[in-house]
Order: sequence, then structure tokens, then C-alpha cells
Amino acid sequence: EALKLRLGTGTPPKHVWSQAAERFADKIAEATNGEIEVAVFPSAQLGTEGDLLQQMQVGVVDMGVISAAATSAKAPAFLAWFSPFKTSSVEDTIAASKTEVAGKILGELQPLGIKGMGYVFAGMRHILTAKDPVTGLDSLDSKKIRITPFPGMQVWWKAAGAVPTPVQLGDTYQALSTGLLDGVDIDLDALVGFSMQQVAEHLTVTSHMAFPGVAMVTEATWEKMTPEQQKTFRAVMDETLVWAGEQQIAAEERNMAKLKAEMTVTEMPNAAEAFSSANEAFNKAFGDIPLVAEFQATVGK
Amino acid sequence: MTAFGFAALLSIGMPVAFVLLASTFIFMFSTGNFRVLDAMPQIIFSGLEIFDLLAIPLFILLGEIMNAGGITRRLIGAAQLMLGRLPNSLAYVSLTANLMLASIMGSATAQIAIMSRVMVPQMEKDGYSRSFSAALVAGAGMLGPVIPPSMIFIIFGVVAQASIADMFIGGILPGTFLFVLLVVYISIKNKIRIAPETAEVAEREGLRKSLFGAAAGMSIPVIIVCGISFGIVTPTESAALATGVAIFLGFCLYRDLKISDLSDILGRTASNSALVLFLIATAKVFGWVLTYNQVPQAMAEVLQSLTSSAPVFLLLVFAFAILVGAFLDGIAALIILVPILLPIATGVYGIDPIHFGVVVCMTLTIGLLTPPVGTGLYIASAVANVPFPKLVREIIPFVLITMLVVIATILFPALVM
Amino acid sequence: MELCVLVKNGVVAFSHGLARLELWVCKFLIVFFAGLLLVNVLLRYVLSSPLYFAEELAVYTLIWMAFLASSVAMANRQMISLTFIADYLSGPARTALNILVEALMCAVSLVLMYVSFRWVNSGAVAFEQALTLGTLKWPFYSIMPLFFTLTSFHTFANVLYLLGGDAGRNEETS
Ligand code: NA
Ligand code: NA
Repeated sequence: EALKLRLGTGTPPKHVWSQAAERFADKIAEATNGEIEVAVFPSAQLGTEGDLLQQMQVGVVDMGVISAAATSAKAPAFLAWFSPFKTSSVEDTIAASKTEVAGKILGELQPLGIKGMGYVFAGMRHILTAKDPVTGLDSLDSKKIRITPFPGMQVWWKAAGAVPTPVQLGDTYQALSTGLLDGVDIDLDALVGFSMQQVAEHLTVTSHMAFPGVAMVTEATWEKMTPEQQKTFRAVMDETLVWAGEQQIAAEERNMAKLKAEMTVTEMPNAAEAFSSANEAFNKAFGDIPLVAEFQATVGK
Repeated sequence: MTAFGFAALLSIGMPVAFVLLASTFIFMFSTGNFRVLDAMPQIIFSGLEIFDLLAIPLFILLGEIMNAGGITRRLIGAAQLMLGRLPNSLAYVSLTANLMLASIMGSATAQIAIMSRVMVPQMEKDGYSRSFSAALVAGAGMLGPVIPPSMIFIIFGVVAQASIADMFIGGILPGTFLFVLLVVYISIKNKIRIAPETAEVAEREGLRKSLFGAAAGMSIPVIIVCGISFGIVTPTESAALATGVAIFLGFCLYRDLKISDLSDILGRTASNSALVLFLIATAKVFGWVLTYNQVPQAMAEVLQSLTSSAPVFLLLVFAFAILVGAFLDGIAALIILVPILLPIATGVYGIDPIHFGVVVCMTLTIGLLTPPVGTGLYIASAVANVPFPKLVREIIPFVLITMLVVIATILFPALVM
Repeated sequence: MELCVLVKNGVVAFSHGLARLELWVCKFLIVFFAGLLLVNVLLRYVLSSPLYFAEELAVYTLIWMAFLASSVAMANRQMISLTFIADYLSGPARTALNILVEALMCAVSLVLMYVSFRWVNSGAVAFEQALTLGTLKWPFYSIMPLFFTLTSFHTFANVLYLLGGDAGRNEETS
């Protein structure tokens, strides 16, 4: 009898993470002659990323592709990925995901009964501002910036002198156009996806943080597979993750070309120095977590 | 079996929210997956873990305070002064107020909550039956999500990765068309109504005196509009801000509001919003179990096998969404259906995503007005204190009018361009 | 027999008093989240320093309010329901139907009470953080077992009350 698995994501169907999930579902059915069937539930159909993690722990959902940000609420070691300016591109971040420490961070999911299979990637984080371009910390002073609400990003932005403002991603377009927000910490996929270039004039390319996601399967489900199936599962997963990385690299180029044609795009090569006080605040807040320290000591050196 | 259990429990008078919980149990037993039970508390909790839901109690509270503080009376008085020369004006006043509110608020439920509290007592005083008044308010609530801003359009934009601005623009013409049809229906309805002329004239005399009071009261919608458009508040926060202003006006300017009123006001706010919020939470778990077992997905497959024509496909989606909307909350249904239906619509039938979005959002919004699970009806019935079956009878023309607008939008895609 | 009546009356009175207390808590929670949002708007607009956690705290306050107020509605039998069959019936038949409904609700509540307690004490929520508040999340989650404990009790009290033969403490609103 076929093993029927449910895989949840928090991203829309067109997002690379959901596409990777779909592709995995197709390939695993093919590779196992239908012994393993995966039903994909994108767009948080079964719940937000936080909900999905709980549902995996309870055992009603078998697999997930969940952002490292949401995962860090359960396993703080994942905050390592948000160490500012550690990697400067998606290619860089993919390389970092192949290090030993990246694997150790995945291992932090084990106490939750979850097996981390590997990483997927969204674009690097940049700063989108409605009116004024970002030239340094001065231009961000007391500015209301929408961030993804989790401690890693909050600490950094607060130390940068900005006012981290939690606005739902869906409300960001309106909030930018009304002036409720001065700017957004964002990746290019979301920027283009929500057409935010229509209501914000300046994109400052800082690449200050990466934004990985984690492909995971519950230990209970893993144990249900025969050793042969586990091997196939692992191989198909690895192949899918490589594919997703390539897709994301291509998406970054495509998005950047589109945005350069539609708005003012400014590179900020000295961003790491400009934000040095914020970087220190991040290290002070999370540097005590052993795997975060190890990540910072080994990656990007 | 689940459908049968659902109908049986509903008809013996079990509260709808508990019918949803019990049906989830039945479905779980019929599929034999008892693990789902362990996930239920979290799913119910997360059904309410949405910031925008704060708008529901806040706008109910605003309505209560506006009423007790005498603001509503003065506001509607001003609208009557503008439209008062028309015979039987109060239905138009209500509709116009709804149109104004629709351009401020993003959600039909919040709009129905505030207008049921504010307009229904006034219309009743003016000789309209309470059930018709509540139905008019609930029906006009359909303007809320169609005329921008719109919460459901935003959610569609998120789920479909479509432009939210294009969705907003797409709603303007269908919304205007809906408004015109509602005006026509009311003018027909007014013709066959016996108008209490004397009461109206007497009211108007008193109202002229309180024009100053009305002007101050008008500051509330102005504060909401300006607060949002100048980026001071989010739409949800605007309710809190407006409530603060309403309390100030009620206590200090009009002096109609008393400290001793506040306890009752808060109690009614709690009861009325709980009825809706608990239903949203339990609808979430019921919808989750259906999705988990891929029921909507299976239904979508059947749909796909039926036709090759785009308009026919959209009409099928329309019929399907009406059916789904009868049982599921519109936003929950949208979140479940869009990822399934949109790729079929754009890939197989070549339908524009914005066109699809406006049609589906409007159709699912109609679900607020259709029994057995019709949040809009529940709010209007609870807040305006109208028996549910009576309201259902009066709402039918409004549902048909909105359906007509959706069908027109399906057949003439130019309406959303 | 006397004792039975005494216990029954005691349970019903306690359910009634408890509901009143719950409603008072609801009133306080509404004032709290409305005030919190208002203060946050002022802090953001006037002082440019909003409380980062205000939205999340307001949402949890709303959830507590919503469930407590739902429990009150259940105690007072004011939930939204279709009552056409009950309206058609009269006398003992109607009371019997109402007892059946309350008893079923009590059973559903008891199951969910057990599950909720297990959930709040499970590893799935033990270390979960409220993302912007920076605190553990389980205290907020604990409304679920509390809610289903309250509804189990209120529906049980309603069954006792209806068994007493009266035609309902509060007629349903619709
Ligand atoms: Na609107
Ligand atoms: Na409905």
C-alpha cells in the first residue's frame, strides 16, 4: 500500500519553495513507482508556518518547507542564518548551507521529532523605501520599517535606529502608499509579487541578510519508510533542493532586471560598515547561542 | 455521512459553531484519522490569530458608543438633510451611508456590524420593518469588499500573487453597478410601502436644530478616512481611534453618554462579537479537516472535467463557490480554493487572474448572506435583533441582485479592466 | 431528593455567577485592547516609538475575550442556532430536544477539554515563543483548556436546569 504524505508550505503556489514541494511530489512518486505519494498544501492552506510546525510535532502533517525565521521560534539556532552580512548572494548562502555547521543547525530539530532534510532559499534582503534613498543610518533614523516579525530581524533594525513596525505582508502595499510605513525590509520576490515598486521609489541593494527555508519531514514518517525508500527519498530531496537553488538564482536575476527598468535601484557596497552598530547588537543578542557563534566563526571567512 | 450529521445537528437546534465542531468529529471518525483530534485546539486558536479580526469588536463598540452618545442620531440627521427631499429617504440614506463606509472599510462583516447597530433602529422608527432594514444593511454590506479598500481582495492578491492595486481598481465598476441595482430595488420597494409622513416631518424639524452637533459627529468618518489615507492608522486601528473620539464627543460635547452606560455597552460588544468570532474559529477547524482530506481539491477536479469554455467554467466556479460559501467563511474558502482553481483558470482556460479574483471574491462574499453558515446574516440578526428565518426571507432579493452583478462580471470581463 | 435539588440549584447558580464574572473579564479585556491600540497609534505618530509587541498582545487579548464571551453566550444559551424544529415542538418534547442538544455540546466540550489540556502540556507548545512579545506562548494558549472546561460546566448546568422541567432559563434569541 502507498505511503500517503502531506506536505505544507506557507508560501503561494508560484513561490520557489512551493514549486520545489510540487516537484518533489512528482519526482518521488516517479522514483518509487507510486509507493510514496505526497499531497502538497501551499499558501498556508493547513496553517501558517508556526501552525505547520506544531502540526508536524503532533503528527498530522508529515512534511514542510518552512522559513528559518518561523523555525527559530522552536529552535533558536536557526537565528544563525540571519547573521547580518555573512553571505552576500544566494550563491553564497547555498555554499554556506553545505557547511558542517549548517547540518548541525538542522539537527536542532531532532528534539521536536522532526528531521531537517536541507535548505531552500528566498532572495537576499534589501531595503525598499517610499521616498528617500538609504545612504546610511542617518537616513533610517526613526523611520517606520516593516520587518518580518521575529527576534533576529527586530534586534538588528532597532539597533539601526529605525522603528521596526509589524504590518501584515498583504497590507504593506497600502501602508507604503499611505505613508504608514517609510520602508520595508524585503526580498525581490515579495517586492515584485506585491508590485510594491508602484508605491515605493527607491530600492537600496544591501543584501544584509539571507532568508533560507528548511525542508523537513517528521521522524515518525521517516521511520515508516523502508531503508530502500529512505535512500530514494534522500536522493530525490537532494536533487530537488539543488533545482530550487538554481531556480532562486535565476529569479534574483530576473527580478533585478525588471526592477531596474521600473524604479530607482541603488547599490550600497559599504552597507556592512554603515550598519556596523546594528551588526554588533545582533551578535550581542544571539552570539551566546553556541551554533550561532560557530556559524559566525566559520561562514563568510 | 458528514453532510447528513451536519444537517441533523443543525436542524435539532445545536448552535452552528458546535455543529461545525461536531461535524469535524464525525468526519474524523469516518476517515479513521484520530490524530487530527490532537491538532484541533491549535487550529481553533489560530483561527482567531489574525490582527484584522480586532476590527470586529472595535467597530461594534464604535457603533454602540455612537448610538448611546447620540452621534448616530445626529449623523443620520445630516444625511437626511441632504437626501431628505426624496420620498421615503431613509433607505437611500442607509444605502449612501453604506457606500461611504464601503470606501473606508475593507470587510463586509465589520460594515454589517456597524450599520446594523446604527441604521436599523433609525429605519424602524421611520416605518420600515426591522427585518427589511436589517436585510438592506446586510445586502448593502456587499459593497464593502467590492469597493476598495477590501480585505478579501488583498488576501486574494497574497494567495494568487496578483497585483492588489489591480484588484482594487477591478472592484470599482462592479461595485458601482451593484450600488445602482440596490437603488433601483429600494425605489421599487419604497413604492409599495406605506410611509409614515408625519413622523418623518417631525423628526426633521428637530434635526435642523442639531446641525452643529451633526457636524461634530461627521468628524468620525472624516477621522477614519483621513487617518487611513494620511498613514496615521491602519484600517483596524482606525476603529480604536474613532472609538476614542466617539467617547470624547459623547461625554464632553453631547453629554448623552453616561459612565453607567459603559458597562452595558461593553457587555453587548462582548456578546455580539463573540457570536461571530467563535464561528470563525470553528469554521476554521471544519474547513481545515475538509482541506486535509482534499475534499475541495476533489470537487475542483470534477469541475474541470465538465467544460472547455471559459465563461462556462467561470459560471461553474460561481455555482460551486455559492455552494461552498453556504457552509464556509468566505476568506477561509478563498484561501482553500484559489490555489486549486487559479492554475486551472489561467492555465486551462486562459482567464485573467484579476478577472478571476474579482469574480471569486464577490461570489464567496455572497456566502456571508446565505444560510446555513452566513456570518453577515448572523451579525445582522444578532445586532439588529431580528429572528434569523425572517431575515433570510428578506435577504433573498439582495442575494439575487449581487448574483446578477457577479454574472454580469463573468460575461463582460471589461468590467474589471 | 432534597439534596439532589439543592445540588442542582447550587450548580445552576454557580454557572450563572461564573458567567457574570466571565463577562466582567471580557469588558476589561475590550477596554485593554482598544486602549492598547489607541496608545500605540499615539506612540507611533506623536513619539515615533510604537510598542513593537502591541499587535501581538492585542490579538491574544482579543482571543481571550472571544472565547470567554462565547462561554458566557453558551451559559445563557444565546448561541446562533436554527430553532425551527424546537419552535414547532412544545412542552416536554421541546425540553427533551433542548436537553439532547446541551448534552451533546457537553460531550463535545469534554472531549475538547481533555485534548486541549494535553495539547497545552505537550512538547509541541512547551518552548514556543510569541514572536514579538519574546515570551513563551503557552500562557496565551491556555485559554483553550480553560474555555472548554467552562463550556463543559455551563452546558452540564444547563442540562441540570432543563431537567428541572422549566422551559429554559433564557429563550434562545433566534
Ligand atoms: Na471597502
Ligand atoms: Na453562507
